[in-house]
Amino acid sequence: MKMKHAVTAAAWLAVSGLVQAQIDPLQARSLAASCAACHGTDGRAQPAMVSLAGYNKNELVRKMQDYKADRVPAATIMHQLAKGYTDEQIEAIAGYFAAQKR
Amino acid sequence: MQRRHFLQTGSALGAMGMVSGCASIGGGSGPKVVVIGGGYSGATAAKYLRMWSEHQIQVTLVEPNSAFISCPISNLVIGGSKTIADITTPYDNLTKRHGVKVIKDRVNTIDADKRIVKLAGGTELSYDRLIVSPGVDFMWETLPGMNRAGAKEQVMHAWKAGEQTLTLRKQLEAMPDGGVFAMSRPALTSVPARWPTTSPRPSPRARC
Repeated sequence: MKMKHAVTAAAWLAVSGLVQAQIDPLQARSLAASCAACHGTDGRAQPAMVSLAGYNKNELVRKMQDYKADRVPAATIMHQLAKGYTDEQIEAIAGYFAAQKR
Repeated sequence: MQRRHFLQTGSALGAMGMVSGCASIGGGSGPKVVVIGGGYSGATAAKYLRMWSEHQIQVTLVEPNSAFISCPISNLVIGGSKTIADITTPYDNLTKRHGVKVIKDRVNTIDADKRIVKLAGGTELSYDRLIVSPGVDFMWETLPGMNRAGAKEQVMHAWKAGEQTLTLRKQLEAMPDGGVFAMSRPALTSVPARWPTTSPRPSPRARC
């Protein structure tokens, strides 16, 4: 009985791990929408702000990870914001913006 | 905490888009959302509901002002490096680009049981979901000093951009060199307790 319980728990963990690794496209859109206040709707920014629409995915992931790990000097609020996302979420956000029309 | 809160709201909006079409009553059109207040949150919610539902959700925004004036960045108008026109945005684009119906009016009552809001002008709007984001206002009765004759004309809060911003700018322009300018804020105990703990409170320095 105890054994069965443990197996079930392990299976559940495996499933939840899987769910975490694959972020739903709608969830990715919601995550990316929180960037809109500065970077514009779907990443199409006003002048004088970096547009994220059509941004190279790997480049955006690298930048976010640099902010997250404090590998670049702090100039904006991006250091604080980047720390609030998991690696999977950063991947999903970057993927969403890479797919947007410039 | 605040960001997470926003993300949850974002997900909820996304989910609402997914269920479009199931709450429609009559008229052969989609579910109805009424948004009270066209500030940053209300106007953004109205726009994203239209976008993310692929125009399936009917959105009506009720806002008494004819244009949005940004309180953030209004410091630059007070300082003279921007004009009030620079920070003013009409609501037209919400209608033109996103099909949001904008009604210039004020909401008097919400009947949550019947799902109806009544506007000051007499119009009644029915809704499936209601977003309430009317913004901040002053409880003047708790500020006896401000109820003295002429106090409101002389002491600007500028927490709502517009006339307040322009008057403050004029006062600063008219100030002689070496004049005295006092800036204060209410004690935190006078901030209404009903403010959600996650919402930004006026900081001692910011005017918004």
